[in-house]
Amino acid sequence: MINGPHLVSTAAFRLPLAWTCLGACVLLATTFSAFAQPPKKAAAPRAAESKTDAAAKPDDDEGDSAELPKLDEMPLPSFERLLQGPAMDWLVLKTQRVIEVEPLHPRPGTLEDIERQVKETFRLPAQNEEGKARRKALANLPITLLEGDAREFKIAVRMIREIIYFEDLMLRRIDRLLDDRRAREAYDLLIALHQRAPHWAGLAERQQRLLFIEAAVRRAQNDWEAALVLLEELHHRNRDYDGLLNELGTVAEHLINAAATAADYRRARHFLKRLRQLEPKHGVVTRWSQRFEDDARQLLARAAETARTGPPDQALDLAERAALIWPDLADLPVGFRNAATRYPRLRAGVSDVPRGRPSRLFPAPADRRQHQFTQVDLFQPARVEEQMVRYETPLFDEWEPTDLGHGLLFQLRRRRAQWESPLVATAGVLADTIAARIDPHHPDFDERFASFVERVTVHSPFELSVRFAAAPLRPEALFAFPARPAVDAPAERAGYPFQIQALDEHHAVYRRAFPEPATFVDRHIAEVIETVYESDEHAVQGLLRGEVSLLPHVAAWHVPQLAAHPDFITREYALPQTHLIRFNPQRAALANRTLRRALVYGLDRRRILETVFLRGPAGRLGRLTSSPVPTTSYAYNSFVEPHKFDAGLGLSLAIAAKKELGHDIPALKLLCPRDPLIEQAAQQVVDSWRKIGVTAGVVVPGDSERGPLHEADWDLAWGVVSLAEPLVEIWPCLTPDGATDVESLTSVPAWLRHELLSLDQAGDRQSAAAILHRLHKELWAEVHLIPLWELSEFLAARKTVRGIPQRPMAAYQHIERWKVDAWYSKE
Amino acid sequence: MIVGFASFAAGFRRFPPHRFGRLVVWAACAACLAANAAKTHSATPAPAAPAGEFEIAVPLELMPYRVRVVVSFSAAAQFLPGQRGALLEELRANTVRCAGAMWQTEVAEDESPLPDAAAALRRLSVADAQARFSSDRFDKVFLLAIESQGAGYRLQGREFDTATSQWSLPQDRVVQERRDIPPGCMALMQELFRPTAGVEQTRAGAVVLHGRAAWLAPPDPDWAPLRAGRQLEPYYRHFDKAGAVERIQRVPWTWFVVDRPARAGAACTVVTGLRSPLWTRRRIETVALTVHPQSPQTRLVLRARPPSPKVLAGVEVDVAHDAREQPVRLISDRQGAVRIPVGEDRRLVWLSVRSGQVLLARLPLVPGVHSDESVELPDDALRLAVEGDISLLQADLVDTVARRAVISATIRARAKLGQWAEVDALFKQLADLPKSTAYASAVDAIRLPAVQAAKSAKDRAAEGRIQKLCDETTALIKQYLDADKLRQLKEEMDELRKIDADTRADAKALGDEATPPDQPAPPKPK
Repeated sequence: MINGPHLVSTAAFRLPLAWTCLGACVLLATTFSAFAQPPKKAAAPRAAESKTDAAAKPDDDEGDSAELPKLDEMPLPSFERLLQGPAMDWLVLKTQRVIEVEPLHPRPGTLEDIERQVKETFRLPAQNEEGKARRKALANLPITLLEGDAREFKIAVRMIREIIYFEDLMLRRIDRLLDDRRAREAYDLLIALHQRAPHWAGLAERQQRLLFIEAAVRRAQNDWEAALVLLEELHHRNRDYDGLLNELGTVAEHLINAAATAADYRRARHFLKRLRQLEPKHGVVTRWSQRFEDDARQLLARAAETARTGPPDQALDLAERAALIWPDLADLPVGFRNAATRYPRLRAGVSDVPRGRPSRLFPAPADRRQHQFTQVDLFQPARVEEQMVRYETPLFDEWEPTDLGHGLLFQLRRRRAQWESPLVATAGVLADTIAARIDPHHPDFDERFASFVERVTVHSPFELSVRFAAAPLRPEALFAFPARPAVDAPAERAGYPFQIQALDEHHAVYRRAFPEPATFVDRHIAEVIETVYESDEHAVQGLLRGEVSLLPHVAAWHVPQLAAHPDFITREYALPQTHLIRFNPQRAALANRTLRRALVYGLDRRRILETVFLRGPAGRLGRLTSSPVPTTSYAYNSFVEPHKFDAGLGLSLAIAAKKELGHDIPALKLLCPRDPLIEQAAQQVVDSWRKIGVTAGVVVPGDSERGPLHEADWDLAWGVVSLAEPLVEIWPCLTPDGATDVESLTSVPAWLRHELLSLDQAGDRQSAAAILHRLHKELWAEVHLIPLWELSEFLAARKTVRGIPQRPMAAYQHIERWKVDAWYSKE
Repeated sequence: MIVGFASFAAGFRRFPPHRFGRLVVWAACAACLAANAAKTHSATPAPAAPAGEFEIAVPLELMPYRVRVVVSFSAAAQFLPGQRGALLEELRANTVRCAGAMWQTEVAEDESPLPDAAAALRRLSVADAQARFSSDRFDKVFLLAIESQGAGYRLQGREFDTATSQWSLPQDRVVQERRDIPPGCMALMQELFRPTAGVEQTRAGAVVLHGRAAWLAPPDPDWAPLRAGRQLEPYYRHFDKAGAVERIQRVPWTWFVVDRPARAGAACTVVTGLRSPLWTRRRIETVALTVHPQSPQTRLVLRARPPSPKVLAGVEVDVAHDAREQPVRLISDRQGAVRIPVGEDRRLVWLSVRSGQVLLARLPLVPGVHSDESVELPDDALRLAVEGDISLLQADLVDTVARRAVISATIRARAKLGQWAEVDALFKQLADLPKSTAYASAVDAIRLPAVQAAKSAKDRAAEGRIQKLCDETTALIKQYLDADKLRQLKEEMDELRKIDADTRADAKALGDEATPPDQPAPPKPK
């Protein structure tokens, strides 16, 4: 039912009422189709033959549109309404009344387009019927109301004062949102508008205003970097935006100042560079550039002065600081080179530093590196040749087997090269070291070593001999222990060839025990600073930025990237690392072989290796293994394939184990070292076991738990080993504490123990290899431990570091001979 | 001898105490005693009676110990001659007070003391003692060394038993004051004193110990020679035709534990690891020497039997007092040695020497009596190698059995679902698993060379053990890889398949026979 026309007072009733009113005042065109309905008031044919006929007669319409809302009463559509739609245009009549209609086309300029078309009709010859008809048609604008049964109408164009398009409404709302600093909503609306009409007039301006406003909001929230990003974007769009340059300067200066205050000059320069790229002549740029340059110049001058009079390491500290503050300083290359060549320093990025006494639970890579720096082994692995590790000795000039191998005569080195920083050892000191290892009452007693060595005799300060009860096959491997006895070990920070200079949670500093003479020209590394990074990603970032020049360990997925980089080298270690799981020999349940086999079959090692450590398929960088012995070693039996993952078999064996034990399998604790990747992999391991009915949990011991392994509460323990000489190292690998006495193998079957003992008695390489191959198979069948996988290890270094062996045996092999070129990052 | 003495005692009481009567009784007893003189229950042969006189064999229980105590004073102890004499005198008095008639003691100062008497004491050998002290004169020799230590005195001593030519291990103690030296020396000697006993084997096979001076009860009961629980070690004394001691031989792995002392002789338990530890021969006398654990441990070396020179490393030695006790497991080191500590009770323990599953020997030991011991055992290397190979094979067998079980279970599950193609594939997997014949061949491949090697080494025990091990494994293979079970499973699945096929066919036929919608339903059968 159509009601009488009346004024619209609220938006809620506006539309239906408008429809009703419209029925009274809008002319309906006969040219529409069946949807059109004739108005109550038959519209007089208003389309005139001429232009003047098209003129509105507002006096006639005023009464008809009185029920429509007025423009100034129309509330701006809300954010939700505009965002969700449906779109609408406001048709503003000459009476200031507003009709909401579906979007008109073309847009914008609908009326202009009509006018243009009308003008075109006048180009036709006069009295042209077609022109008349067209003009008649153009006199009315077809509209579609938003609601109602009858929605299609025509309105005389002459009655329309203007059209406020939907996009304009959005812009108005955007303005209001920006005025209220509601940047997020304004952004959403802008996006919607951009999607709708990317070239709408006013859109670009609103976008710029949004950037500006949002930058201000972020600044108020103390998110200065985000503010800078927004201002940079605004600068890109419109450099001349009002207030932009000031704001840019303010924000950038804040960031620069904060970074400089925190002594993070790289960061400070980064922001300065960004501002300079936008506005090279900006006051902030000029001011701060000058300041940094001045600071750097002062430091360089102090460095030069210190180099003349003071310790060279302090001179280098100053030069490095100058380079950090302003690497573009003109005098810097010369000054820095002088300081760096006088005191070559190597910076390395690591995941951890030594934390006091090495843990017997998990010998950490940090502890191994510290050992390399601060202890001299009588014999050290040098390289791999023909599947065997060859040893070298830094202490002896010669060592000669005597009496068909039942004796060894050692001649100590009497001279050292100038670049060396050696342990000053005499025959007496070494004899004490050896004697300690064969003394049953000494803490350093080694039962296996004592079974070989009968006595040691000192012939002169530089000559000693050892008599063997049984000739060892590889005496060098047997003598691969530190030269000083433990009871006389120097203070924590001493050592050879390097000493610990400083140690805290984030850094470890090692310095040459014997500095090279001041007159030396061709210098070798004097100091190594290890810096802890939270993750592999951070470490690589540090390398790329030039914060460090060496990464002793690089995660597998970074290796291809670094290998391809022109500024870096990567070196694969000669020996891979093998991850394995050991069993606690004190645990009765794990003495059951069926249970151990269940655990190994129920473990999808390939999947864990590929997802956690490699992030790619197994292959050159990592592979499954069936032994703790490296797959490249002569001792590896390639006929023994790793156990294949078979969950069904694992489950079946677990059930069988339960029956054999006579009770449920107890919940197991898997101890693992503090390493994010290992912890992640360990969790996946226990998840695999849960699927075959074995409950297990991962435990990461605290730093304070550094007692012997057998005292800790654990059932299984994650281990990472790298066996240089399996002939000697397989035994300690099998025992939790690395012991070599026979008592440590109490849990091992007698025949296996006998096999291991026969290894000590092997007389030639073939026999030893045969025994090791057999042992490989036996350990694999017995599942005395679970070899998980083998990872090829890599280090990465900047090309400025020279002297790194092609296939290093350890991270800092031959560190005394390394050199590092003077280089600083300009980033 | 007992009969003779008993009759002597009885006669002495019964007959009138006149001279002739006594002589008659003495003669009768002497005859009995002489008849028993050949039995080995006297620690030393009775001295030959002078010609023309009756030979009277004094029972061992009545024979006191002829003890010589030689005391050496170090110069640093600063004893004046008079003081030394007083000390020795007091010591002598103490021996009388403590040991009484059990000992006939001579106490003297060492006439040629060495500068470091204590160290010399430790270095003394049996030959030194034999040269210096004749067994004809003394049964026990105590060498004591007194030296100053700090504000007090350190007393060191060793005891030498002339009958068995055995030195005790040096012992020492510290006293704070000079006046404590004599009682300290007495305490030391009590600790060192190792009573001896004659060993008599009865016809029933029991062993009776006749303790020397057992009937001469000492005033201090703590000095009583044979008490219940005492542990003794037997020795053979071999005599030549002239009656001189030719050699002295310790009976290995054999111990006497006194059950209950009695006047007629102490009953004891013979604890031995030998099949026939004690035997009697002419000119061989068996004596027993009391043992005290004087070393904190005994180092036992396990060696292979000759001609092999090797030591047996990695062998398990279980130590326990008896079968009920949970043994402590030791492993022999690379020198083939295990160290058996002295227990708090200082009692005898049993050592079970095992190589894998085989018990090589079971031996009794009183730890601490001797600081070093060794035993020769069969070399079990060959059998151990076989045990290792069999263990590997068994591990593989367990896997195969488990896989078989898994596949069989899967077959049944698939069959229930009618997935016959998968069932066929699973049967193929089953067929591809190693069969019992393969394992049996593997066992033979292990058995034959090992048995051959055992035969070459003439080691029948090893040969027998190897055969047994392989036979047990073969039985396991037959039990768990029985081909019949697979055949039964196949037949069962064939049956099921047939039934399933029939069922499906029936169902299909029923479906085809269903009434079409246009035709009237067939009449129901009446």
